[in-house]
Amino acid sequence: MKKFLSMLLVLTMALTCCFGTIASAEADKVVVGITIDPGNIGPFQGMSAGRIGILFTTYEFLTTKVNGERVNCLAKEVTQVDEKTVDVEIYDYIVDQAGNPLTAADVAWSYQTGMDSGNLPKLSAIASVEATGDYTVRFVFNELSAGDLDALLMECPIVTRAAYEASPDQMATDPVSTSAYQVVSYVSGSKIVYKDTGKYWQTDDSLVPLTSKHNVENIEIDIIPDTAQLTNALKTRAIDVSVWISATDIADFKDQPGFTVSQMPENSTEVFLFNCSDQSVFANNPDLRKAVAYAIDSELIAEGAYNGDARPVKTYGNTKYADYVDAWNDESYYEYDLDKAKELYAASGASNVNLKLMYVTSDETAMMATIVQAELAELGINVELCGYDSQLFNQYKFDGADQWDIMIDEVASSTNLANVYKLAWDCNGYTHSGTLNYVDDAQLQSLLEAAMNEKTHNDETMNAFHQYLKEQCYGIGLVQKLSNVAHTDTIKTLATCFRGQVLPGACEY
Amino acid sequence: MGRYILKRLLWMIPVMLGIAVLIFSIMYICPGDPAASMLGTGATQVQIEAKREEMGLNDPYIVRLGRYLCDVFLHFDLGTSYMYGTPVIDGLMERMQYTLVIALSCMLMQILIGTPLGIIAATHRNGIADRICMFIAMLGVSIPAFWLALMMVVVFAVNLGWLPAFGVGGFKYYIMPCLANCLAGVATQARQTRSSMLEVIRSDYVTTAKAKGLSERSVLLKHALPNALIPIITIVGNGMGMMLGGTVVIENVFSIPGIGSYMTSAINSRDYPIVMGGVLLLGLIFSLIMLLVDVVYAFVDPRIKAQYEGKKRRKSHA
Repeated sequence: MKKFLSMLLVLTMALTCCFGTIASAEADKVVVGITIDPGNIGPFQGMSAGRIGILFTTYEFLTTKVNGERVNCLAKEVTQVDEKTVDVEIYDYIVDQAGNPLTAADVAWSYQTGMDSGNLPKLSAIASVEATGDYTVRFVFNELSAGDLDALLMECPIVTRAAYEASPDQMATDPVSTSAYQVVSYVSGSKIVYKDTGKYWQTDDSLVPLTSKHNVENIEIDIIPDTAQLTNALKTRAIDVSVWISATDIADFKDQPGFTVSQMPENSTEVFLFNCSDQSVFANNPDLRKAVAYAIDSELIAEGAYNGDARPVKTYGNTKYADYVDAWNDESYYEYDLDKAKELYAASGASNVNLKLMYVTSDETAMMATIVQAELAELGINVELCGYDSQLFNQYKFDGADQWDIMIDEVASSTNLANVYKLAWDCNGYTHSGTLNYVDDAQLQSLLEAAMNEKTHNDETMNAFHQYLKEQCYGIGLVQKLSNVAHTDTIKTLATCFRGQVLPGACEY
Repeated sequence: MGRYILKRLLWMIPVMLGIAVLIFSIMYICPGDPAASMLGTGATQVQIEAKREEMGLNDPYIVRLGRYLCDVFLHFDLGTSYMYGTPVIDGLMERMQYTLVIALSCMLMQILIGTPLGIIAATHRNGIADRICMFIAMLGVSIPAFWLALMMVVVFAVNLGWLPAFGVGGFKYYIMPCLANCLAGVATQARQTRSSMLEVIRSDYVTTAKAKGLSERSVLLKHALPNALIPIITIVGNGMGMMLGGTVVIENVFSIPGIGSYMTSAINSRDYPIVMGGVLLLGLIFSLIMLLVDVVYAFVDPRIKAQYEGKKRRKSHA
C-alpha cells in the first residue's frame, strides 16, 4: 500500500511539473476572452458582436468617441461647411503598419469601398466622398440626421489602398492598418494575436485618443464560445479579462482575491413592443396596450432576470445617450400597477386574450419572458412563450406579423437616443408599411423626423416624441442592463470603449 | 478487387449528389437570414433586403440549387463564406487538421482500449474482470461527452491546474478533448468485441483448437479473434463517423478551431456555404471510411475476398 501511495505521489508531482506552469501570466501580454467569432476581420465587413470586441485594436477611424464626445483620431479637423457638406482634414504624417503613407485619397477610397460593399449600412447616408487635397476630404450627405455625422466618421475603418490591394484575401485574416497593433496571427474560431509594432504614427501622446492607446506590448484575443468555459478560463487565469462572463457566474469573481469586477451601464435597452398590425388585438386598442404595460413589473425583471444587474428605464432607450432628457427621470413611466392594469383591461373590451411572446432565447430573456407570462396571467391573459435563436427572431421580427403579438427586443445605438428611436419607429426603414411593429401613425413619424433632424434635434423635440410614444404605448422600454467586466489583477485600470467592449491597449497594467 | 473499389468510388458520386441536394434543401427551408447576420443590428429592413438581392438569396430555389450543384460538381468550388469572406474549401482544409487529430486519436483509443476490454470480458465471462469491464463500458455509453468534458475541465484545469481548459497547442491540449470524445466509442467497441468473441469462443473450431492442445493465447489470437473481427471492424468504421460527429460538441466545449466549431458558428450565423461544404466533406470522409471498411473485410475474411475474386473469375471464364 505504501509503495502504491508513494508511486501515486511521484506521479502527481511529475504531472504538476509538466503541466503546472500553464496559468503563469506574462507581464507584457494581456489575454481577452470573447465568445463570438469575429469571422472576417477585413475593414469593410458588417458589424457583429464578435467584431465589436476587436475593432479598435485592429483599426483606426477618422474620429472616435470618448465619454460621449467626438474625439479626433486620424482626423485633425472636422468642419461642417453646410448642412449636407463636411470637410475633414487628416494629419499629414500618418503611415500604416506597412509604411504606406495615408492620404486623403485613401480615406475617400476606404469610404467608397465601404459604401460599395453594402456591408456598412450607415454609409448609405453619404452621397459622395472625394479627396479635395492631399490631406483633405469632402463628404456630401444625402440627409444628415442628428448624430449621423459622429456615427459616419467612426463607421468606416481607414486603410491605405496600397495595403488593401497587396493583401491576398482583402485583409480578411491579415489586416494592415494605422493602429499601433498589428495582427501577428489569426486562427479563425480560436485566437487573434496582436503585437505593438513600436512604429505608431502619432508620436504626440496628447493627441492619441483612448481607443488608440497602446499600453501593453502583446494582445491575445481568445475566442471561447462556451460561456462556462469562459468562466473557467478566467478562473484559471488563462485569460485576463472578459465582458462576456454570464450574470450567474460573475458572483464567482466578486470579492475574490486577484479578481476585480467592474460594473457599468450598457448602451442597450430591453424593450417591449406590441404588434399593431391590422389582425392584431393591439391594433386600435391603446387601453389594452397600456393594461399590459402596467401589468409588467420592470423592477422585478431587473431583480429576477438580471440578478439586480439591470435597472428600469423611463423611455424607449436609456440614460447613456447624450440626448437623453433628464426630466424624464422624475416622470412616472408605466410603473407596475395591477389595479390600473385591470381597469384598463376591462375598459379595452378584450377578453380571453391569448398572446404569443417572441424573444431571443438566452438565460435572461427566458426568465424575463416567464415573469411577463406570470404577470399577464394575473390579468387573465394567456401568454405562449416563443423563444427563438437570433436569426429566426430577426426573420419573424421583420417579416412575420402573424408570428408574434408581443416582443421583447434589445435596442442600442453607437450614436444617440434619436437613432435608437429611428431604428424601431421610422416607417422608411421597413418594407412593410408602418414601423417595426406595424404602427401606421403619421403624427408619430412627424415627431420622429423632428427629433432626428439635425436642425431641430433638441430636448423639446425629443421630449415631444417620447411623450407621444408613451401616451400611445406602441412600445415601452423595460430595463437597461449593467454589464459586469471581470478581470485579473494584471489589469490595474480597466478601459472600455463607448460600445462597452474592453480596450486592451488602453487599460493600465 | 480494384474493379470493386472503382465501382464503389463511382457510386459515391450519386451519394454525394444526394447529400448536396438534401443539405441545400434543408438550408433553403431553414429560417434565418444571412444578410441580416452580415449587416448587424443597425441595419434597416430595406438595407437587409437590398443585401439579400445582391447575394442572390431572393432567387428561386431551383436557380440557387442549380448554381450550387454546378459550382460544387463542375468547378469543385464550395463557395465563399459569408462570415469569413474566404473560400469555404480553404477554411475546411485549415481546420481539418484539428478535427482529424481528435477523431483519429479517438479511433485509435477506441481500438486499443475497447478491443482488449472486450476480449478480457469475453474470456472471463461472468467473472469479476467481465463485470468490471462491462461496468466501465456501461459508464462510457451512459455519460454524455459534453458533461464529461466539463467535469474534466473543472477537475484537471480549474482545480488541479494540470491541463489547459481550452484552445489548441501541444499534446496536453488534446488530452481532455480526446478522452471525452472517445469514451462512448471505447464502450461500444468493448461491448461489441465481447459479444463477437463470446459467439466465436463457443464455435466447434475453437473447441477443436483447444483439444489439439494449443495454448489459450494462441487459440484466442489465431483462431477466435480473426473470426470475430468482422463486426468489430464495422463498429470501428461507424465509430469514426461518431467521432467526427462528436467533435462538433467537443470542439465547441474546448474552443478548438476544427470543422465542428466552424460549422456550429456557421449554423448560428446562417453561413450556408460553410454548413453545406462541411456536411459534404464529412459525408465524403465517411463514405471513404465505409469503403475502407469493406476493403478491410476482404483482407480479414477470405470468404469475402473469394466473392470479389469469384466474380472476376466468372467474368473472365465467360
